[in-house]
Amino acid sequence: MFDFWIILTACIIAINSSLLGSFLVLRKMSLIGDALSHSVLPGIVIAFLISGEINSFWMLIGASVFGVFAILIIDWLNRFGGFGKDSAIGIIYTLLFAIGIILITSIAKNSDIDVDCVLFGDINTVPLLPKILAIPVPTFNLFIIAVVVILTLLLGLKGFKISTFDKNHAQTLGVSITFWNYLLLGLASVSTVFSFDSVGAIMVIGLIVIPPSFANIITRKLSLFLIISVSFAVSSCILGHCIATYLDIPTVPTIGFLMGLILILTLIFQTFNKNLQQHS
Amino acid sequence: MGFWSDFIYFFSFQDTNINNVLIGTSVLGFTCGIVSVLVVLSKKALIVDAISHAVLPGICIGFMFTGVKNPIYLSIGGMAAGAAAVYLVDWISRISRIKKDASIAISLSVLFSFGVILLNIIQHSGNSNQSGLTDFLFGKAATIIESDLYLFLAVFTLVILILTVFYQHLKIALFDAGFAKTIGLSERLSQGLISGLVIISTAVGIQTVGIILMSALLISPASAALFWTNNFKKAILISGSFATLSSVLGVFISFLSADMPTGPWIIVVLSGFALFSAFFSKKGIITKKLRAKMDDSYNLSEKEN
Repeated sequence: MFDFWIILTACIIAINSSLLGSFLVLRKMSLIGDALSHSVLPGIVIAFLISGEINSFWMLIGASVFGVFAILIIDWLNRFGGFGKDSAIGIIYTLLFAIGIILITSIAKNSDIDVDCVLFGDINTVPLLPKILAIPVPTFNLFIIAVVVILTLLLGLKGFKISTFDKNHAQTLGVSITFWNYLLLGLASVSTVFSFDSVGAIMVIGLIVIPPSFANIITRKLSLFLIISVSFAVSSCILGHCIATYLDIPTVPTIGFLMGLILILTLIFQTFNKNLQQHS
Repeated sequence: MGFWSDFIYFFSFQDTNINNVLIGTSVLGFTCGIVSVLVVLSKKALIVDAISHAVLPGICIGFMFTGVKNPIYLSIGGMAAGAAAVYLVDWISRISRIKKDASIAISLSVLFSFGVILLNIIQHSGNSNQSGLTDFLFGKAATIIESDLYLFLAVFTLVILILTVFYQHLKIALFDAGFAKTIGLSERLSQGLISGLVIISTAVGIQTVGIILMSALLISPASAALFWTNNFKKAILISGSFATLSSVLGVFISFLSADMPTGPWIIVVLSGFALFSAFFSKKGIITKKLRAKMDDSYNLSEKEN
């Protein structure tokens, strides 16, 4: 049962991140995942300072506003402030992350948030946390978020699709690109915040970018893309946890490393195959 | 002790430990400030992120091979891993449909995950030297000692040397890529030089601000400086000064209160400079608005006459 909760939590996070990540990667917004995963830290710490617990649902929803706020600033600085897009991302996310770390080490220093778990998360403590309906709180919260994410994507698939692939066509049809853009960013922000204390900042980036990139080198069909992306993420989580328990190393980085390793090996195999075909 | 007595104690340079930290962070700050100009002008801002995260496994491998926390071995490991990251990002985006930004994020999370696994293995290996290796994550400015300073100064000299020798080459390559091509300057050389300088300064610079915040030290100073000048040489000097000043203030703030971490404060001050420059410099948003308003009222009064 212990391992079950860990794997289930990791899988729900994987489903959320890889679904939203698919659209982010297709929109060439991969680095927004990077920016988001770091920028939400002060929001989480402030939510924690106000509510006194790390898994309070509404506080974490509030913290998600920080992610969208960061992206708005990045966008604004890029458009009007004379910063390059790269530089704007680099400056804002490090600034917010630094503020988060300062808050943790000074004001919130007697709390359970510690600096290391900001990076790697603490998924192994999930089964020990208080439970709602016999489900650990983070898993329960993540499950609600997953339902929201999947429903929104299903209902709005057309809108997401058209605003991702054909902006001109979308404008002709009167579809608001801004609306779908911020809906996606808002969901990504909420999902990042809720994943944060389980898997940490770096892993969120991995789960947002690696599964969709894997799907990207396999297929060009959107439905297949989403299916491959999600199944890649979920199977990496299960396999990763098994390997980690077997070798007695931490689960979260093992999943990240495994995903990257599979991706890189696939790329090597593909190039090798291509060369072989060219020669014959 | 009140604020002013702290202030006087700090800036009268009577405490050797504080002096070591101050000199160390300033030298590193200046080095990173210089390299920062190359990073921002060549639009490599986010590859820095991949490089700095990649340094973690490099440091771990450096430690595993030698078993001691000698900063030279650790830095060499870090540099090798940084070079691997640059190659990986380049390779992924070259041979597949994956875009450059995605390949940066992939390399970053894979190499960092690998680093965390290695860190965990080292921690469980029972080697008593390993404590303090995690300090690289968020910087360990407060523990800089005299012997570290030689390494920092060596890196500083190396960066200055490379920059002086290839000054014209880099300047032309950064400001006029078309012209550089026409006169046959090697693009590979200039790109390689910039990546090399970034890798060297990252591997050493993480000692002050840590891996996660390192990219700010290589992005913010030049972003701020380029608001004040278009001149390459001036930009380098201003950028270096911003980074040095932020380092000094960061160290001072963490000296004032024991709870305050040095690295994050350096970054907050530095970002403050960058945002201030974006608003109030000659090319800044607010300055432009004010000038536009003044021009308007000038035109109006002229019309009335």
